[in-house]
Amino acid sequence: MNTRVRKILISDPTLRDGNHAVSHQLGIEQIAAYCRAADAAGVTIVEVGHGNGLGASSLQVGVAALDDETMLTTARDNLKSAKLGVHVIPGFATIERDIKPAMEYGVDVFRVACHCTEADITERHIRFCRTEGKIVFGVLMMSHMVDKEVLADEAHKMQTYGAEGVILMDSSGNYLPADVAAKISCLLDNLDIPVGFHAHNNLGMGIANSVAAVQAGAAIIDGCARGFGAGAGNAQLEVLVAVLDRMGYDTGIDLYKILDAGDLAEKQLVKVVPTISSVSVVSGLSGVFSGFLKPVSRVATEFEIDPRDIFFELGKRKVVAGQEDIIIEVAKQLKGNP
Amino acid sequence: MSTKQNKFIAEDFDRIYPAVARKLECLAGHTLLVTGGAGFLGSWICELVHYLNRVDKADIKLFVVDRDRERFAQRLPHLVKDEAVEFIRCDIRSLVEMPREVNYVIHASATPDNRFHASSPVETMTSIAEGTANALRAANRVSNLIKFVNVSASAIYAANTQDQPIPESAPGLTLSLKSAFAYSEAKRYAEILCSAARSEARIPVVTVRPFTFCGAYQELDSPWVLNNFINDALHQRPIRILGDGMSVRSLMYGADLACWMLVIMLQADSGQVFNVGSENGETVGELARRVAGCFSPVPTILINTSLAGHTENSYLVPDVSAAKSQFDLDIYTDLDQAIARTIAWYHASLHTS
Repeated sequence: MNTRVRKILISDPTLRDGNHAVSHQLGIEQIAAYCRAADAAGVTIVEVGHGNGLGASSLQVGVAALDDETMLTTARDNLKSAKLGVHVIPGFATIERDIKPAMEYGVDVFRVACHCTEADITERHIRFCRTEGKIVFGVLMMSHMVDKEVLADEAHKMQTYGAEGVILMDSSGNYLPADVAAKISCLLDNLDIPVGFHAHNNLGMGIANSVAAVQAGAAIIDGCARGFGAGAGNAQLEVLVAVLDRMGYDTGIDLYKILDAGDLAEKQLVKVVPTISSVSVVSGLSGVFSGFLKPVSRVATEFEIDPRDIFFELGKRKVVAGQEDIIIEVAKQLKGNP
Repeated sequence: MSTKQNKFIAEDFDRIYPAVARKLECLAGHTLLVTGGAGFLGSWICELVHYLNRVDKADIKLFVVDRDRERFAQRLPHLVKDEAVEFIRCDIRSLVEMPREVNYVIHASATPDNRFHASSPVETMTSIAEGTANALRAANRVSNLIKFVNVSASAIYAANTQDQPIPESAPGLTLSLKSAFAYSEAKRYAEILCSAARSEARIPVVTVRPFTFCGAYQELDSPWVLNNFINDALHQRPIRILGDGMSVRSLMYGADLACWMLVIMLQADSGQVFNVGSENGETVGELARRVAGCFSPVPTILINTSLAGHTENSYLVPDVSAAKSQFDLDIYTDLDQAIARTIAWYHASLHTS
């Protein structure tokens, strides 16, 4: 009988996904304080940056309070043992303008992400990061939109490009545990590298889905302090660590210290602790990226229409992050003013 | 870097050639055509033919078929000026005919780069399937064809669970419709196509299944284990191993590969199949240590670099006893020398570029 405790790598995107929840306005003191707390708790990877990742600060998806250099050097100065990670979406992030400087700022882990059917666009970024000797994971966003075989094909591409792990993102919080188990298992059957999972909590399944992923064999799990993240938030990190500990998995994280980090996040980072609002539930059901919550709410108010109707229409159109422009078009259509 | 390159490659063949000289004698005065001549295997074949003509006055005519003339000219500038070498710019999928005087064909077009296979499975399959069909049709119209060597791949074998060298009789892959197997299935199709052509048109086909290689003409960023290690070390970084370092690989040096290919081409009987590679397996961790030992200061070696624990180990070593015993072939460049020569090549390439 194998009595070895299975290790789970915890990656903490509080300071990246959480930036969505505050319109990318996290400041220097907040980043420094949380990095110190997460580092002390033994978190393996602390991900930092604009909500949409490296190089994404823009009028279209939101201008961040700090530039990438300030965010990353601040984090670097306050992490002793934890690795510093970034989210990289090719298009937002370019190799010359963004990735090379990020390496100089001391980033250790590059999580190169794309829509779940477009792994081809990650090849140059993944190859470059691997060739430069960095840790590289591939990330498939909006993974609920396609079946497990397609995900396996796309993940396989990332593996051949040089990714050292592939993470499935439930970007709109649409999954139920059985969905997660089936997709994680399929990836493990088709890959030679570790598989991970990044939950959103729109349907209240953030922790349950993360547990399902671990039970199916996932070795990398994302969690945010107090669930601080886009929309209804992510799997709550402190709860995740406690649950995995109770299940007998080794995260290498000190429970008291991660609870302290959660308290610190609530006081210093989180304006409003993520809850599952009515619109978040609709976002999850319609399969629309949680990051649409704020712009949809804003447009709904402006056009005086029900934001839930906007979400369901966006879901029918299968919109993905970066297509926020369509929100106004949909609102006009629903208003009867195309 | 043509002169320097000539000297470097000649050093390898000066060392190896005496052991195979007599086996290669009967190629003198004949005409050879290589498809995929600008690739790793093709480049080494071209270099060996060039060497035989220069050193032994072998009078071998060489046709090189490849779609990338610039790559060929950049890699082998000394062959562009060689009157015994003629470059035919052609995508293998458009090949209709080959020169009538061709006696031997080595059909080596198709990239083994799995990144390309994953991104472009359709092009991968059509290049192999249509390319092999075209090469066979064209070869069938040649009057004095003596041998057609189909370069297949070790990828046609099922995953090796035995931790033993893989013989030619090992089971093939279970049929899979996953696009991840596009290259493997296309190579298997090409083998059967060659077998059919041998049966129907009496084309004298020999199949070789190459395994793992190193040396000049491999790109430093190619997705092979040794290249990655050397790349890390050349850039003064720790050598990174994704898993625990216990996977096993064997490496044959490019000059040895070229000699084996020509000897098999000349001496094998139609219908035979041979693994080509080194039978001397080493763990990936040991390969990393040997690479590290070639550098000063010695780079550190990191294992499990994904941070996420264990990855599956694999054992990819060919059983080459058939080729060794039938043709009296050997490994002429041992592993340490192969690694040292490969590093020297990359070092020279980096300084030149």
